[in-house]
Amino acid sequence: MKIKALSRSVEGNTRSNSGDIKKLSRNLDPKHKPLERAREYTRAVTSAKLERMFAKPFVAALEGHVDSVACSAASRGHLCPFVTGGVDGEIRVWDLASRRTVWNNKTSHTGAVNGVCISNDGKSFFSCSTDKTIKQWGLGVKMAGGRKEKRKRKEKGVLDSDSDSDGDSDSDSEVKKSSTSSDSSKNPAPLNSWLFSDTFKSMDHHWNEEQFATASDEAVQVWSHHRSNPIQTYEPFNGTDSCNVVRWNPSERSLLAHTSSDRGIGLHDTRASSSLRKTVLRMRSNCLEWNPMEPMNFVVGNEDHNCYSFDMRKLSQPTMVHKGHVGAVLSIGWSSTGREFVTGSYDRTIRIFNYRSGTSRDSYYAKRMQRVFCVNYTADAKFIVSGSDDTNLRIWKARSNEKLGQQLVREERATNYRNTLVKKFEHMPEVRNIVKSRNMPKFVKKQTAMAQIQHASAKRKEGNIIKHSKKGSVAWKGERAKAIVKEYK
Amino acid sequence: MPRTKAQKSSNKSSNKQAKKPTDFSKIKTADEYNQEYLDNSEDESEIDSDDAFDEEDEKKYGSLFANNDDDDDDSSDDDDDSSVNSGASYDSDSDSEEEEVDMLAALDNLPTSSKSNTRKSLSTSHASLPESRFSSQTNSSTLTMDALLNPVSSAPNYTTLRNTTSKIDATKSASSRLSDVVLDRAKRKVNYSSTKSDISNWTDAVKMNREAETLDFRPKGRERVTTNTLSSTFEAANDFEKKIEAALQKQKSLEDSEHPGSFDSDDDLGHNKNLTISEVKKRHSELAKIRSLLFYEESKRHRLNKIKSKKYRKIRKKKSDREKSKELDLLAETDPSKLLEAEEKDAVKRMEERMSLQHRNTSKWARKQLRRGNIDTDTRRMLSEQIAISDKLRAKKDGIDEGTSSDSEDLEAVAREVINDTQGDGDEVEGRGLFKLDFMKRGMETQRKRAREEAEGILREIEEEEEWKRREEGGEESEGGESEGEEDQKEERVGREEAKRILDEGIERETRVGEGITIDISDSDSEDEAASSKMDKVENNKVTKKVSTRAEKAKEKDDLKKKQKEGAFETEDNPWMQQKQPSKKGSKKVASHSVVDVDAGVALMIDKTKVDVTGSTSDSENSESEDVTTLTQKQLVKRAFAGAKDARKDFEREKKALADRDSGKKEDDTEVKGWGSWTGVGVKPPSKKKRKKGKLAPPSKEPEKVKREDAKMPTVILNEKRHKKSSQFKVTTVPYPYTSAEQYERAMAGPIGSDWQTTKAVIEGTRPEIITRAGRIIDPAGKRMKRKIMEEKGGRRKFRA
Repeated sequence: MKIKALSRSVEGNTRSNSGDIKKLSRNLDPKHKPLERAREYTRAVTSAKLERMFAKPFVAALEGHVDSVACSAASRGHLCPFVTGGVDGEIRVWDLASRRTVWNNKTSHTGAVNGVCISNDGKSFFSCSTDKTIKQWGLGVKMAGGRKEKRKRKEKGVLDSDSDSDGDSDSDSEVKKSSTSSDSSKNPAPLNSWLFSDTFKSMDHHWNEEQFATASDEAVQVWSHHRSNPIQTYEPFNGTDSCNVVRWNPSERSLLAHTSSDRGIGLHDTRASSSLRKTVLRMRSNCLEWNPMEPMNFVVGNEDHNCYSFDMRKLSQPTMVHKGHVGAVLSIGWSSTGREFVTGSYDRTIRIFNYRSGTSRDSYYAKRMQRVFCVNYTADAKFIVSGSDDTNLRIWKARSNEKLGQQLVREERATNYRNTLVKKFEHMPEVRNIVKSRNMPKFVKKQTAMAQIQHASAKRKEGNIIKHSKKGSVAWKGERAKAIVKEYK
Repeated sequence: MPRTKAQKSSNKSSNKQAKKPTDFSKIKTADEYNQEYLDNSEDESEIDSDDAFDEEDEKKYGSLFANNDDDDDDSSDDDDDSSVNSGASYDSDSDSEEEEVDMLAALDNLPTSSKSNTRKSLSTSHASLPESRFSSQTNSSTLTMDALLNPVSSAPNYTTLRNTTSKIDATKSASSRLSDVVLDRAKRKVNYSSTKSDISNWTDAVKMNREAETLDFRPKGRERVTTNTLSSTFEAANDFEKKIEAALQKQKSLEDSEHPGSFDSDDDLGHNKNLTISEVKKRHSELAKIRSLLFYEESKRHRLNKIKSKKYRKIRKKKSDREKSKELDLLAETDPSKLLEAEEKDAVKRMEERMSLQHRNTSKWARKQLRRGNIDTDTRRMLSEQIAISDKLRAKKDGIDEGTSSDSEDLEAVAREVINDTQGDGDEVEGRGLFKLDFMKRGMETQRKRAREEAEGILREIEEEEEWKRREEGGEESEGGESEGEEDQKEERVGREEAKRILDEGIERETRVGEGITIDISDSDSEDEAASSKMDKVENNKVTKKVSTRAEKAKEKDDLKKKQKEGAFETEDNPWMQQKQPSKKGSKKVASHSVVDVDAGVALMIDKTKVDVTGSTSDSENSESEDVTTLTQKQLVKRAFAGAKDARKDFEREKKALADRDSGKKEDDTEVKGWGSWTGVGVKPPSKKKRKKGKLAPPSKEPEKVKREDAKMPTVILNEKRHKKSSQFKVTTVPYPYTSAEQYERAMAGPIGSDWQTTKAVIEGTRPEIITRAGRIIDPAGKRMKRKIMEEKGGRRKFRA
């Protein structure tokens, strides 16, 4: 009989220095590791539990506004500057990394600030208000630590040691107090201001030119930085109601979309003088955002508690209905990855939706958080910033269980493995229950239950109508098709 | 109308401009702006109000305004209405719209006062309205018949021509322009389709993006630093490094020059430059031969090592022993010193054997066990094993052959002892536990009987042998007087032969009788030993076999042998017997039984021929003393489940109840209970009246019979209840992205963890869909992304071709 003795070579099992990894020799023969599926399932359950245990999305609340936060804008080229406008006409600029207000003006507008946007160079920002004015303000962002500079440095081959996580580290240097606001006693003056005949509801900056668009009572205007009058005006071609929101397409940069109070969504092309198309929904859309990675797609948040994804080439019906809120959706923010978007609602919750799923992936709420008026993702898709009726700005993690900061390689691998396991077994009842369950506020819970009952009864009624009418005269109408009243060409 | 509105608002804002405090030094004037952007955005010059008229219009229509102001007012009013209308009822082409168009046409058709004016207006209109994609149809001034005819006004028959053309004009009001609403719609359509096609350029990029397994948004351009990358990209930077590199290069070149191809200068096959071809060939063939021999030897050894047969091993051992002894003999003749050496070696080996102390109960463990006193079966067995080893060794030492250890006298004594044992003190020990059971008792009894028979057989044999000897001694004298006895003997001998033949067929013959007896003795001696150990069981089987051989020797009748053989078979087949082996001591009753049995055996022995005729196989079954050992498996099972007599009926009832429950069958529900009968204390229960079915209760629908899966299996009940615990691990439907159960199953199969996969595979398999890094800004889809994807596509195409 042969006996195989254990033998270990010295080279294979000793480390030359303490920094080396310890080699683990494993036998991959499946007979030594039986019941792999059962074991992985157990691990998946544990992972799901861990996921929920570590789900602590709330990062910080930023105080400062004295009235509810009406609008917000994140910088496109920088991580830290964040501008918010209040209902009382106050504007604040925040440094998200240090969680401080770096600039504020309490009397920037005499009416509610309805829209803010930051220019592409990051040197100034704009605000529009119900007081029929647009104002341009200086934003003291030093470009030395900015992005283009960094790129240049990279090309040269000089790399900062912290350039990977620079967003947090050298952000303090990026946002400086504006020169105009050096003395806090005196309110800073705007660089420019525009007077107009109508009140403004929303504004958005062009993605590479020195233009911005506003939504006013009667039409959508396109403005240049250097002109006192709008360079283009688009009226909703069917109906003359006021416009709520206007947004530029980030990729196809002449494309504009707006929503109007007559429940419509309109498209415009600045190369053409006329509008392109309009579709009217059952209820009003409060917000609209283009998908940053898919130029043809956009999402609107509707008064009927739902969000609707649209392909701009096919406005006859939405591509997806996102349900879950129990109050009107007031604001939407896309993750810059283009795979997720966040919605803020009148039901005091924030929900995160996958761009192709009908239900939300996660929902956040805080005990004292009121109606959420504005939500934004940060440009690195890691955080969500929400402004609400309770005058606070809140920072949330985009993935509630994610660990902040640098992870070790092994740690990252373990996390990946856990996530993969949960994803693999998410259809199993046990895992699904753990992953999907959320404790929601009583109000939301009740409303959800009620909405379900209402939906069921509506469905039953529809069925009854079809059943008792002449065969073929009434047909089932799909959930998506129901949302659209008419498409105007 | 958007243009007019824009103009309006811009005008308003320009008015306000004067009041504004803000400095707009850089900003162009409103008029400039108007001029620039109206050209682009202008759709058609539509007259809305007095403000809207510019110089050009005044030039064109100045005479008209001068002539009739009332008309102008009317038209403006109309326009206002129409604009409202167009806003409200956009779809249906309103009449007012048409009117307006007609009027404009009329305005255009009016003959102008001077030729020069007309020309001017035409030229200016061209200049102010450059052709573009979005403003191709913006020219409002149409070509009129008058304008065409003007150059030929000096012609002789101009008047007639003009008359005819005016007639044409009158009959056909040539409305060259479409309605604005329609125009707008057409424009929107064109614009929309062009924008759509622009956007559709992104579909590939978007598709790729969506289908990508991983979207990696980590900062690029940072490679991982490994030793390989360092060494491959190393460049000597400073002087020191350069010097070292130069030195290394030099050394390398030196080595190369000294030993060009040093690695293959000489090898096993003698690739040496000094050898000739024939030598190389020879060596090659030698090597080949050795290799083949080695291979053959190896394969042979491999084959031989795999043989498991004991017999073969024994033969081999004997062979080797023989060889060894031969060698030793040879050594003794040739080289006594070496012989001594070999003997010494043997002695050492033996010493080692003894040193292990396994053969004696002197080891620490054994001593402890013995001191402790209460020795259980296992310990006892192990101790006895040790003793056996010591015996073996002693035998070796004494040079006694094991096989011939006992002589006939010993045998006789042992046999007698056995008989005495089995006859006496049967009642002494009442068995415990299992041994109390009847069949166990019976089994023990049989065992005892057999031992007794065996002993008797042996005794008989010995006696016979002695008699034979005696007879041979004085054989001649008593030749004639024993005719009958001789005949008997003859008969017996024939039976013996036959028995031998049978035994040779079935059971391997036990050659060493003495050993068998010793084991037998130990069996009989170990009175207090629990009989349930496996070893003993095996021994028991052996005993029965041996018994049969000895029985043959003792000239037993072959029916008796058959019976015993059957007994042996039973001991093998019967699970109860195998596990519960009876102890030697039985009750007195048992002993007496055994006596009777033995007598019966003797009787059978005597009239052998008779039994042969009647068929001996059945007599054990038919005999009154039916014992466990003689029962068949079937009978045993029957006996074991004797309590459940109507099990079948119970089973059927249960099955039917289940089937009824599932099918939802109810018993006669049509009758409403208690209806039409008296109730109260002391009232007799009503005799069931026969009602017409379905008179009171509504006719129940025949419930759909649920087919149970075990409906066609009469002997099986399948549990169709939902298993709560296992349902936790099942999905009710195929989950969304999967289309079939197989697909889902395939996706679920195969582990992903590092316990089952290599590190690389784990990293690949667990890579997240989206990888982002904190602080890394992700740009929206831009031209670069599109270009990259197009390049990738092109590259792939190239690769395919």
